Amino acid sequence: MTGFPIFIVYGPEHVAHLKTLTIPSINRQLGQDAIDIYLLNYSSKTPLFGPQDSHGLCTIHDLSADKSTITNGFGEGMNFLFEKAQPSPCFLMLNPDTILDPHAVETLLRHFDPTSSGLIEARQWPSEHPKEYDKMSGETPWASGACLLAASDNYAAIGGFDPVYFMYCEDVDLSWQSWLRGRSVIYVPKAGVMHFTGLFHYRHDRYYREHFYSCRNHIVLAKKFFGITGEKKALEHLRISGYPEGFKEQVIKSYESIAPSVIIIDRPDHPMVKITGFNRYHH
Amino acid sequence: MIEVFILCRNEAYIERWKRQAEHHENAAIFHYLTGYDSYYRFIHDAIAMAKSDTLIACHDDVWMGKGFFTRAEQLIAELDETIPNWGIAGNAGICIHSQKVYRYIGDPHKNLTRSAYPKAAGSIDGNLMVINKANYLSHKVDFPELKGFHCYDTVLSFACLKAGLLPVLDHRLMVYHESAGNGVEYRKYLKSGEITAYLSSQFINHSLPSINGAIPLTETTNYNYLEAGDTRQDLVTLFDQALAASRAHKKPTLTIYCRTQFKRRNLLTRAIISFATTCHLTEDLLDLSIMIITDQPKAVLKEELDILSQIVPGIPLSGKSYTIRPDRYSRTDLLIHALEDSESDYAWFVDDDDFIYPHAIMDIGRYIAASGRCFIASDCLRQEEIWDTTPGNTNIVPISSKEIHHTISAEIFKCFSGDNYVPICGCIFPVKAMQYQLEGLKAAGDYYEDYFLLMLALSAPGIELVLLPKIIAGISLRENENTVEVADRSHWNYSYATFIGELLDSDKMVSPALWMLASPYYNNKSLNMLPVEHHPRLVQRLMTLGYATIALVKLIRRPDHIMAYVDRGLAIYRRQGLKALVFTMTRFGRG
Repeated sequence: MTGFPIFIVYGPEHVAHLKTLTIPSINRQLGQDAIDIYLLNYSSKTPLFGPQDSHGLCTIHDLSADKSTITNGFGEGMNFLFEKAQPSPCFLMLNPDTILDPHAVETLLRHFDPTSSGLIEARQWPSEHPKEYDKMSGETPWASGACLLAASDNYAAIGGFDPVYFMYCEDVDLSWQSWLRGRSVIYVPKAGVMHFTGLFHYRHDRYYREHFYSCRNHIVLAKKFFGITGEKKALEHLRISGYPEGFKEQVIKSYESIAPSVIIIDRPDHPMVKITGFNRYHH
Repeated sequence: MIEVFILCRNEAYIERWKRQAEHHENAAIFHYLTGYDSYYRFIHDAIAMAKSDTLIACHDDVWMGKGFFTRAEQLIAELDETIPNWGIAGNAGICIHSQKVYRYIGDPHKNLTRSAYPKAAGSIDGNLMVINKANYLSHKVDFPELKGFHCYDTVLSFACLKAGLLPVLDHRLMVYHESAGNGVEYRKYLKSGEITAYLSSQFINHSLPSINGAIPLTETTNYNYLEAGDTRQDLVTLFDQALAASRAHKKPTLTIYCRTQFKRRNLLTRAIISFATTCHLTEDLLDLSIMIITDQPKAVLKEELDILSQIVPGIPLSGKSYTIRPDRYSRTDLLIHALEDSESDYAWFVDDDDFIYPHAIMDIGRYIAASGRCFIASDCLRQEEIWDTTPGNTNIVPISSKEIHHTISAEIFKCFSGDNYVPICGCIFPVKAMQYQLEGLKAAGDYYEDYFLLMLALSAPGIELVLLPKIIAGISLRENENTVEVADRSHWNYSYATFIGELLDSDKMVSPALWMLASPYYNNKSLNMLPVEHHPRLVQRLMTLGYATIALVKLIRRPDHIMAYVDRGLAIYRRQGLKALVFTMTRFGRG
């Protein structure tokens, strides 16, 4: 491995955006001699990128054909790429619908300390995450996985993302585990990444996977980090949430099917590990 | 000749209808059917019996005026050409995306509407339905045979959508309908369970549109579609697919015009990237192109286009350099030049310091008229941005972007009170109509050029105003950079008088009645009941009274929105102190 490693889990719907926006934005990164982009198609074992997509700074490695399962969640995909690429000392996880500011990677790397860093998050635009963070140190309870620099040793020690989440909330889990290991989770507003989500355009006549998995995985997080008491509180959050009863039943049914895989962590209290509301993990 | 099938409740109604039919001698063939216990069955029989490619199925208490069948045949011919996959057409119904109801019927509800072009609908009302039998059969519409006399129209509309056919609404099918419908029986029918069970078995949506109000399915919907594969379908996706099929031969064209002098390259690049992101989402419903418009020399434009093309390769980006005409200001003449030269159906002006929300393009595609005959007004989001301008810093990026104000498209009617309430990046202009409106006008003002264009669009004959209540664009407010911050307003006032003086004197402002009609609207108290976030001055006052007041207000208003203000206020206060907080809020209040 020669270049700075960037991991992207994508689907067929992202190919055009990746080719014309995301990868060119990676190619424009300042302060980098070479970048290795590791790609994984979450929906099949068919690679949709090849060596011909490499140019400029970037060398493309689409590892989709190497995986053992046909489909995978976000966290599983990142874990697979991590295992294959063996990055050191750090790597960047990037959503396939993002566009990096030219200074993003070098700004994130400037904040990386191999002994103390766990995760370093870039600032998303135009919808900046409502963040609780220390203006001086950048310390924040949790970091979004949309554009996230991770220390490899910390990631390996934690075992990467917990695949039980499938999607949504796994980044909160990784952040909390980092804090519990004594590694920092930092927000860097100067490292910019464009991330146009469809949030404003969600409709009211249906729900989306984000609603479903955020609800279910809120219970997973609560149980894993706060035990049976946490699970009870999270279920109460869901009960009074205003979602239709059928939706809640589906969430609970799904949660019950994965509950045996949710291992409660025996942990000391930590000020960064907190649940402040339904699917809310910061003040 | 078109065949009309009338379901008559008894012999007396047949006799009454026969008297009406005398007015339409040689215009149609009438069939009187009676003795049914299901309107679903009646529709099936009518389709089976009809010998023509299109038929009308209607109630026994509708009155068709003189010329009805001439207009109906014109409509059918037009639909066959412009929406070849139309399935049914009606005179009242609801649009699936906007939830807007159109009623081209005189009836006891007294809610007559008028529009400029046929509307693709989610479901239509069954008082009168023109059924495209040829398409119905060739697309194998799966219309169930349920019991009773309710929801057959909604179910037929949805069955058409499932088969890739569009329900359509048009004023040319206007009738007088004697009945207001039986609400009690309708609600009883919904509660009987047969219809909700059927709809829940077909669609994933927990609410479906109907002219009688949304059909709630929250308790019967199976939500396993969120996790597992499911054969049921999303009604809006079906609508999008049918709409896209109707535009297969000709999509509406939309050009984003970006006004720039290349003085704010970071902002321009950001805007262009937002446009480029949009390009990947537009394929089915409209054709999108991007054009930079500038008063800078051609050589500068070419150089800048080369740079941008490297940043966003493979998108339809072009540019035009214009020489500003004598007696015109640049900011105005660039817009007018673009409109005059445009070959697109629609123009969307987004300045280099603004940007668009790419996913909005899906909503725009649903709302926009293929005929080029609508003017879209949408919501925008103002962001207060702090850019890192530390001396010596080469990485000039925003380090904070807070959403501070949401402009509301429905406030466009307040524009008739003499000020602008919808930013230009929230407007999508019909090009041909604007070319007509601008002809012969001097347009000699500078600022308020956006308001000038907006009033011309609102007054354009044959153009329908479409309110799209979604955020389509963002506006960047950066410390003292924005012109709205300039204290001396004399040049603004002069511009305003120049533009509005010319407008009021122009016969392009078609009808004084428009302005009179708007008056009760902008005095409407319901607009003052908008969430707190739309009342910056109120928030400003609350801030001076203290957080306890805000806490009280948030209990009775929209807590999520008010909290954003509190968070923002606190952040400014902690970072820069009270003076900065008061200054920011005052400035925001003015904006």
